Amino acid sequence: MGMPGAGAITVRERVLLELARRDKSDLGETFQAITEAAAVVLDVARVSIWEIVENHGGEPDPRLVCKDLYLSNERRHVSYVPIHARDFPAYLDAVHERRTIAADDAQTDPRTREFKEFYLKPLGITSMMDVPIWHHGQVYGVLCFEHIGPVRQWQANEQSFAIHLADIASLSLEAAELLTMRKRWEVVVESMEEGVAVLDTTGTAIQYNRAAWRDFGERVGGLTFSEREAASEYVDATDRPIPRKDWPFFRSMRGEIIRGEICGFVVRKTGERRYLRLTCSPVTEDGLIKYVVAVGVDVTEEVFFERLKREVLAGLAHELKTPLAIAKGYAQQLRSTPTLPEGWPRMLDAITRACDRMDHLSEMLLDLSSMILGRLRLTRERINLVDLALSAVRRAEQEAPDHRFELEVHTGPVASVIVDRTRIAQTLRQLLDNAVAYSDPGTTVAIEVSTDDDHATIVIHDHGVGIPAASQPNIFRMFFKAHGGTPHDKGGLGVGLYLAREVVRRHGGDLFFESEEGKGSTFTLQLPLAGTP
Amino acid sequence: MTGAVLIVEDDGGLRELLAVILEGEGFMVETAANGREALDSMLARPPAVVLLDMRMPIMDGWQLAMEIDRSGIPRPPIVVLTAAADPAERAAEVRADAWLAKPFDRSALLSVVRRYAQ
Repeated sequence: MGMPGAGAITVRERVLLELARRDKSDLGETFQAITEAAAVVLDVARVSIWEIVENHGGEPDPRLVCKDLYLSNERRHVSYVPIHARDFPAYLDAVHERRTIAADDAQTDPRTREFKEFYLKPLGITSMMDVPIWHHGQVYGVLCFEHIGPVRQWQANEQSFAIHLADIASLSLEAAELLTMRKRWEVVVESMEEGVAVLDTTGTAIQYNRAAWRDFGERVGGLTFSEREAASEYVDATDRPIPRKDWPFFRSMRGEIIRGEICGFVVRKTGERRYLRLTCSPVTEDGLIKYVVAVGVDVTEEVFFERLKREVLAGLAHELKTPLAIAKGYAQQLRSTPTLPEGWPRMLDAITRACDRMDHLSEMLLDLSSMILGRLRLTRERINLVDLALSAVRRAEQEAPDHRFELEVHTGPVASVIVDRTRIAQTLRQLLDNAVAYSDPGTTVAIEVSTDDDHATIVIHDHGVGIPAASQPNIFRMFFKAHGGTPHDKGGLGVGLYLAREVVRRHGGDLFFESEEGKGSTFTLQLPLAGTP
Repeated sequence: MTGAVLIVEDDGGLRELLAVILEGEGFMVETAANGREALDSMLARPPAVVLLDMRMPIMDGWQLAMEIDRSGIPRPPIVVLTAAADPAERAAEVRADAWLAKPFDRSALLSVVRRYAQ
């Protein structure tokens, strides 16, 4: 016979060590291991783990829910129905005091006697020891020892063993939670339509989800950088090759965060093109970029559709020009006949004007598509803005003989700007056409040309219907029509002001306005003055 | 009168219109549907001026301008007739003397042709 006390502690230590070491990925199994070990080591009839669930159906309704109950005599794990804890307030208070409840005489102990008639007596339980199980700094539940037979005194070393077991239960709760979170995260990332990949500093995908493999792994190259480089050429949204140093990965390796840029891959073997909208961000550790996280969505269909739209737009506008030239040419040819029947000159002029209107619309579509495609090129030359304003006003006077035009020049004879003459003339024409279109015949359109140190400014002021306050923030938006659907709707595409401001801004100038409904509008076109040549 | 106005335009309708207008004003007119035909015509009878469409099948305006220079025939005045958004640039590309944007004005057509063909 050795020393039973010392031997018992060793067994307990070994049990604790084994429990602590075991794989805790299955919470149910861990709880069973704890209850069983506790029952055997401390020789207790019933050992159980209960979770305290505070709310039920959104209402405060504390319940004790049995997670596992080990019966020593029967050597089996069972369950037990949930217990409504509001009938046992003293017990609940004691548990929430977060200390071990060691009730040697459970049927009289004030903390546990509430269970006497309903639970303890029927089951023959005489002594109870309950240890709180912690989780996230709160009481998760209790590890419960129930002794049957003569009243038992719970020893200090037994209590401390029970506390260790409760700690292991806490650890396994945490492990299970981490695992659940990780699994949930994996499921989320895996089921995302966006491809997500983590690239190391060599550009190799070290972690990636299903969509990433589908869109940038399998389809355009592979996992390693060299595989991808060999398999695909990198292009931008307009199919221009992207130089190697500007590939998203390299840019992010230099610290840049790339947000939603379109990157295309031309598969060398097949010529297939795929386009991804890519977001790439560097991940630093200890001040060094260690990874690049890439998130990409396949936008191939969108890119193709967008391209089709633009190209059809430009192509159609272009194709209109020849039939327009024919219609206009014959109208003018007939018009030049000296002896025309009564009424024909007017009709033929109307055909010419209609052709010009269609031409103007097709011009706008062409401009719009080159603006969107970034193909709008400016042919700049030094011109006198005063001359340009003068000829624009003369033209307007011819086209709108019922309006009065007042031109004021406050610049001296020359206001030199370096601009694309045609485009700025178009812009002025657009502004004057608008002034005429939205004001009554007989009213005045005032044009003022002035300069300050840096800018030449043309102000065009009408006394027309003005722009409704609600529409004012939108008038420079593409396809927006401030008077669309009102009696003042003059037709058109709703792109005139958008194009006008874009053109002016590309010159380093700006276009802005003030307007009051029913009183008129004032548009101010500002261009940077050219220095003396 | 030195020579004809050579109309180089692949669209038959537009070609006919140009001929009607110019003949109506007393100009001699030759027509070609592409650069190839134009080159043949120029070799046979040097024109006073060429009205040149740019986008054409078989031989386009750019190729024709190159062929003219390569063949060594005297370069006639060229007026580019274009639907492009930047006609001046098209004209510069083939070192043309003038340009007309489609759809053109009858009066503008006549005045530019008169400049070179009378």
